[in-house]
Amino acid sequence: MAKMPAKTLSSEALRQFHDWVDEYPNKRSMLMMVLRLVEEEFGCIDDDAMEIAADLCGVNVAHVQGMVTFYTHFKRPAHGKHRFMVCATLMCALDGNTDQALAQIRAKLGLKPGEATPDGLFSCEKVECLADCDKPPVIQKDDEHFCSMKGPALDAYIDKLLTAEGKTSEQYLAATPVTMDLRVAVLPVHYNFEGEQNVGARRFDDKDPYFAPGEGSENGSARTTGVPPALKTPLTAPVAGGALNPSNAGHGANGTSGGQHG
Amino acid sequence: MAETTPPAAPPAPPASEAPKPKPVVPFSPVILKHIHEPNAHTLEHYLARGGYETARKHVGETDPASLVAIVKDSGLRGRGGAGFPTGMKWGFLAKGTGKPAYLAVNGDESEPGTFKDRHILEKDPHQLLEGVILTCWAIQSNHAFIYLRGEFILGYQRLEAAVKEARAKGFIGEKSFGKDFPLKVTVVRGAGAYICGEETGMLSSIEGGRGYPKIKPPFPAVSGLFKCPTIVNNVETIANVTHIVKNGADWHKQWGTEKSPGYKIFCLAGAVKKPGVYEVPLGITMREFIDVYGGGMVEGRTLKAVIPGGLSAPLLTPEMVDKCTLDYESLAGLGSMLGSGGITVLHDGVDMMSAIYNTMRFYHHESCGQCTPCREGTGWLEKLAHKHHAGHAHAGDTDLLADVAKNMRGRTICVLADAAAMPMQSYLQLFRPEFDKRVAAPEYVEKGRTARDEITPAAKRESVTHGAPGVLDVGMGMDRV
Amino acid sequence: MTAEVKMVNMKIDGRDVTVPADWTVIRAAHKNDIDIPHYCYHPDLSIAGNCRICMVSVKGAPRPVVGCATPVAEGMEVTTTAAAEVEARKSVMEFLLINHPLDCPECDQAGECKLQDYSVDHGRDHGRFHEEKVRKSKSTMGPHVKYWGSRCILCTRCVRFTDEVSGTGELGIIYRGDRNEIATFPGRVLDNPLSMNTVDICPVGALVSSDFLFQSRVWNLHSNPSICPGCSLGCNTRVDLDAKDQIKRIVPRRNDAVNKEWMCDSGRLNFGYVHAGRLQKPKLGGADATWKEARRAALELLALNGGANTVALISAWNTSEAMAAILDLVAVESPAARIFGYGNPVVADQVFPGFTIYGDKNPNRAGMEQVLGIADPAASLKALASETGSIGTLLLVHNIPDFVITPEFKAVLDRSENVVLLDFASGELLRYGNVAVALPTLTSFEKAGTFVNNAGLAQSFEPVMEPATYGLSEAEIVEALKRDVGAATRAGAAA
Repeated sequence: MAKMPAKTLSSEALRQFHDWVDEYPNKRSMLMMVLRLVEEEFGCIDDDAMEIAADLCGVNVAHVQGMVTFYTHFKRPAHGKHRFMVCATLMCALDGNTDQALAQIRAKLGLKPGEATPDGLFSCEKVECLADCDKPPVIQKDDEHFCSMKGPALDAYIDKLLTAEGKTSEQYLAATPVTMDLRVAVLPVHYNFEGEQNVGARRFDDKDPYFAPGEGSENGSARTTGVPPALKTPLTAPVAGGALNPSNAGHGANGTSGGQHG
Repeated sequence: MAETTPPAAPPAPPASEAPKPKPVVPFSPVILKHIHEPNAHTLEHYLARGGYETARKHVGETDPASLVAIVKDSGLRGRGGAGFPTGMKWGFLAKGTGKPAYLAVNGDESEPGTFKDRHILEKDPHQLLEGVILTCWAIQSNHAFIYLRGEFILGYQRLEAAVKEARAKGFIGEKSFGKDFPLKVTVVRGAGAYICGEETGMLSSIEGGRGYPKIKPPFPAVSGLFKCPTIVNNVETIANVTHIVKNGADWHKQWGTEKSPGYKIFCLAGAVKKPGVYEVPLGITMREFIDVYGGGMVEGRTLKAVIPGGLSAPLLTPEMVDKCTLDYESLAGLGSMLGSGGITVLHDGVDMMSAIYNTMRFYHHESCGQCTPCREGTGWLEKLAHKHHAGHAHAGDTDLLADVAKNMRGRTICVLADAAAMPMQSYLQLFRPEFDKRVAAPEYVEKGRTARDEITPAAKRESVTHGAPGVLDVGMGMDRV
Repeated sequence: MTAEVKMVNMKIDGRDVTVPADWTVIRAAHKNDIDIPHYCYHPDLSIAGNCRICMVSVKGAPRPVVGCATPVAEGMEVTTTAAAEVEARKSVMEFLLINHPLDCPECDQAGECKLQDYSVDHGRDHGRFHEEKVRKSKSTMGPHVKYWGSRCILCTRCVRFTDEVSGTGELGIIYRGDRNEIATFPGRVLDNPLSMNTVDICPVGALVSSDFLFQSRVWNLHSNPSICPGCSLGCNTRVDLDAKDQIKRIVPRRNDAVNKEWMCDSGRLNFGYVHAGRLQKPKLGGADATWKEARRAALELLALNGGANTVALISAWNTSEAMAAILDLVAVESPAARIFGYGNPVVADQVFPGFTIYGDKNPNRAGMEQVLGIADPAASLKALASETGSIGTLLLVHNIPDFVITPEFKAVLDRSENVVLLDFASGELLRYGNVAVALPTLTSFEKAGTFVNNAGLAQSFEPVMEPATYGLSEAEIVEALKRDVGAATRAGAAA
């Protein structure tokens, strides 16, 4: 998905947030629910959403990023609009149930686990136990939960989604799926900061003797697709007191990195 | 999304229709009694069957200590997995600290093979809520958190609705049941982390952190949520409280064994004719459970092994199954554990190497990464299990597996490392010949089944079934990252 | 130990020790010189208990426990070398190394790496891991810090540092399990003024200093203790120099009374002036001169009218010894002279939750008060600047690197007919036409001295390196000048 412009929370979401303020002992403890709130609000949790959540809960945005990457159920920009989560833990995988479901998804959408369609509409991934082990395979599609989801039921469901989106199975089978990249954008190791002064010892320049750009990532492509803009932003302290200005909430002047987001 | 569940699933066999076991006292389901009735999740339905009467009777009236005593007398043991006596745990709650006490209800239900809490949350949330109210009164807590795993979407919606209804009715709020007992109930959603089923990991998550378990001691009863005294109980445990308070400790003790009194919900999955959730008295035999409740093995299959208490429980062979009764002591005596009550039956066609590789992949994926032995060990176990699964193992790799598993045990903050090592040790102990067969077995190499991409970059990614319909190579959950 | 602290008696490895009741086992052991290996434990940070290397056995406990999170108790018996914990440590050491790249030959930390040390002390003699290692990102954390993810052992010291000491919270852990990494949020960088402390507390080569990167192998360095002249706190430092006596880096040295184990980035990095831009020859009227000529000229200028119109202007960067020497000189040579002080302008303190970078960028303001009786250098300079009329001779004892000439300072210079300058730098001051004589001095790294910090603590230091051959300390210069005076007097008497 393309990088979205500055985002603001809707008034309903803010009202929900203020309801929680009375409910929870401190603001930090609202983080799990606030992340759900921004996920619902924006469809996924991207960098802007993380900054909004950090502002709301008065925590550092690095911590929010740690939360979002720790908990795998949060929807990220790399995930498709329709996100298929297929349980791959033992109870579902027994007797090939998981593989059958995955094979059906692949036959319909051309997706292997970990891939998304190029238009970002569908994605497929394997997840761990979804706690309905007596009726394998269990599939969760965004907020919908399905048991014994294989065979005609799964095919019919995917067809229904395809029809609703005005797409056909053949379109996706002909296209090359993209690998979902849920990684966090980082500054390349040979990055030089603007305005660095030559104090102390030698500068570390881009003549990195050990690492060529892109080395170290699994697929051989550069880990970070672009060099972020000059980083001169002072560290912004998290907004205390919950007074969130909707006009610039979570979207500091520092812009965002040129990291890859699907 | 009630309407969308489950489109092709056969309806779970009603537990009440299951043939009666043969304990002295006839047993019919208590907690799951109403889950098959339509609209059982609504307040009207719950009130119509005498709901909230027990709470109304006791909150603000009965001495809280006497409620703790009833639960202690009943011998109720924690249903989340550890089986710690609930009343005793309540008794450990630090008093006079000047800090508020919290109740944290664990609805993360992340142990694979367990799906009992899902049914309570989705089909009878008010039952849980009444238990929460009674427990809060018993431990004199004014704030309860109910933590649900993020994937329980219907459960969250229904529980949240139930809390709203109860609040509107005045069952919880500033004056619960009109008594001077303020009570807040907060529902928190997780987001896909097995480790948040660990009690302190769950507390970290509620506090707005990564689900990192905390160092014990201090135990949550002394310093838990927000560094305040906290009681952590499983959903099923809390749901039991209402019935025990209502009917008395002796009523609860009429079922079960001496050390494992009462009844418990067991989840049956795998190669049986009627998988599902069944509430049975503790102490019935495993054979009876599988053959009578589960309807026996699926046609044409024989029993190879049983995972008795969720994925982390050591396996039982058919001989052990014969000796096994469903109570904490019997399973502990067999070197396994009752755990969360998730029983999975593996049939003779299951490739154990596939099963252990899948299991290890699960723990590798779910280790929080805090402690060194677990963070590194789970990955190592998975890689070694994969080698065995793919037939790449070298001589000595099997012994290495055993040693790595041994080194992981008892050296971490929480028990996830043990939970990963225990099944590995059990598979090694019970199915060592299958491991040995895969050591550099030429036929596996010839099939082109090289390691997965992460291990051998040029590998083929096709899934290949081993022999009879066993466990397929389901690859690595990590390829989401 | 104050009397109120409750003490407990316990045994560690059979030794009876008495420690405060609120201590942990690892602290009690370290206090009593019993080594317990540790990665995540740091005395100034909260307890994480995640590295699991500090395993000890407590009598009565079923299995080894971590020393960093186990509180001491009366009568506790702890062993650190019994079979159970040795075995546990060995296995933890193995786990730590399986996904470690073992790239010691190209790692900056090699030679001072806890993984290397403990691997020798507690690890196995060979590896058993033959699978593919987890690969992690390499990234730039900030202007001074780079991150080698694969080397990281996730002890979270750096994360706790940014949370608890700097309070800036730029760092977080991302992902889960053995994919865990340390990262900043995209677009934010680790650029707080204390960022390089994360490099120090990183027990392995994961966080490395961009400024020291690939500069030297640490075993080729020699180290000497010193005091940072960067501000009035006087952080205790360790200066690492190479074989050519070039400073390669400055790192903090533990002193709980002053700086704990922290230090600001500018203090670490501000040593370039030692090796570049030095005044290498005495100057006389802008031209190179011999020491003898320069001294004679200086003496003449100082002694004009018995020093009646002479002013000694001494910076607060000078050591107490230098100030005393100048006092001595003035007393002998120009008793009528007046003495003023000055220093770097004072800016606001930068206060962090666990550390303060003082805005008083003068290392010896308190020493100046003790020796010269000038409590406020800025006020002293202001008083001098507000006077009118010319100054005959200005004895300017400078020794401040990167000094920004303020209008007041400039006014004083402009009013001076002749300036006798004592400074180590060949800087802007020299270009003032009225600098008649300039005598090269030494930086605080090259001479012994004392700085009195803002808490009144006098901290003496020795030279960390051989002094530059072209400079002399103030005491030496004064001694030579006094010798010259004596010679002149004797010559005069003889005549």
